[in-house]
Amino acid sequence: MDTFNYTYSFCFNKDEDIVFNLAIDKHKLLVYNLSPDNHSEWTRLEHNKCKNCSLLDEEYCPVAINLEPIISKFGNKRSYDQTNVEVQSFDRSTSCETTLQRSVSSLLGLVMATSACPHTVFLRPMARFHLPFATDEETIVRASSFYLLSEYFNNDNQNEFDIKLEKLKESYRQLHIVNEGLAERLRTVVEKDAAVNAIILLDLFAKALPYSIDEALSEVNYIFTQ
Amino acid sequence: MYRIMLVDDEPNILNALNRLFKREKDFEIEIFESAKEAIKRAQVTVFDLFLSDYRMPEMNGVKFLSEIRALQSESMRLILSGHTDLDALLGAINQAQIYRFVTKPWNDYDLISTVRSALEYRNILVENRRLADTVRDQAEELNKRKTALEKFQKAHPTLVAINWAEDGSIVLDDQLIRK
Repeated sequence: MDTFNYTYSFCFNKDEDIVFNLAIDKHKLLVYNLSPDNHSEWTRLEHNKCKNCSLLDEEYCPVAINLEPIISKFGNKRSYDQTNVEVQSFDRSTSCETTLQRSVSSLLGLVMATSACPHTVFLRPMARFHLPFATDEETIVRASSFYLLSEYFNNDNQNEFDIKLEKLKESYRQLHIVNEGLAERLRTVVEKDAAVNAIILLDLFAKALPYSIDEALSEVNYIFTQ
Repeated sequence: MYRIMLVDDEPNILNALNRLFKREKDFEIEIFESAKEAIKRAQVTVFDLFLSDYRMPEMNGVKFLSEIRALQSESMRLILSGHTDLDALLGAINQAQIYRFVTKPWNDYDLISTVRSALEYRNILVENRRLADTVRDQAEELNKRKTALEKFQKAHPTLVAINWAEDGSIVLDDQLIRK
């Protein structure tokens, strides 16, 4: 199995530690499902299906089945509970003392990006270079840079090079609709708000990037105009 | 200008809301990560609208907005929450008397529209109260004058008695005047 791996370890003061070992196919950039058998009802494609979902034949939502084992651990936890998280990749580790909603958000972001949802495909190259707990500024630079690089590799006709990032804007608009659908789906199964709020935090960026592009990425302009 | 307070323990959400609301030229925004700090501020400054998260570490949104209601009853109060249960909804309606319960993730356009309609509703309430006060003041004034007139009529019945003819004209009776 040619994979790259991430281990997310959540340490709590009172509760037991929670650990997820993610294996991501190096070529397809798809995460291996952590519990491939017996999916819950809420993971069915038709259960609160996203408004922009283009899948027809799948029985289950590809994002929901990958999130299922994570939601089963965090569905009854509060968003503002503190946790110490360590993310171990093949060659380094990153740790952070933060709220549960932020740390789960980082994990969900990686899992969503490496799931077989047609609206998260554009995020897969970024997932290959996953940056846990990235700031908005880091994510703006990463999202726009990765997009321009994908245009370089995938666009044979250089005249149609999308230098204004119009297609990226549209991708994030569609991602916002997916986030809304997922939050709606999760609300039907979770008891507390940590997991839903983790999606909400991811969605903040999905909503902000189109505006940021409209304003010529002014937040990060200073880095490139020295 | 409308003065609006935003309260959420998650700074990223607060910043995103702040960015969104600041695009509205007639909104003056103050943001708070702590509900306790927000209450302290509301004790000294009047706000038109409060938008609060529901689940917060110091106190939940219903408790926070109930305290705000006691301080500023004319304010509009809204809850913005990712996850809610029936208790939260009942508390929000019965205790905090909120205007709307908005779910996260929000749609920018819908959220601003909801806030605008809350502010319009508040304007109507304030205007209604002002008109009701005016009507009450005028009714009091009218009563005072009526009482004075009745006193005067009692004291001087002939001075204010008017003799109407059948066709609606006033009959000037010299004899009556002389009396």
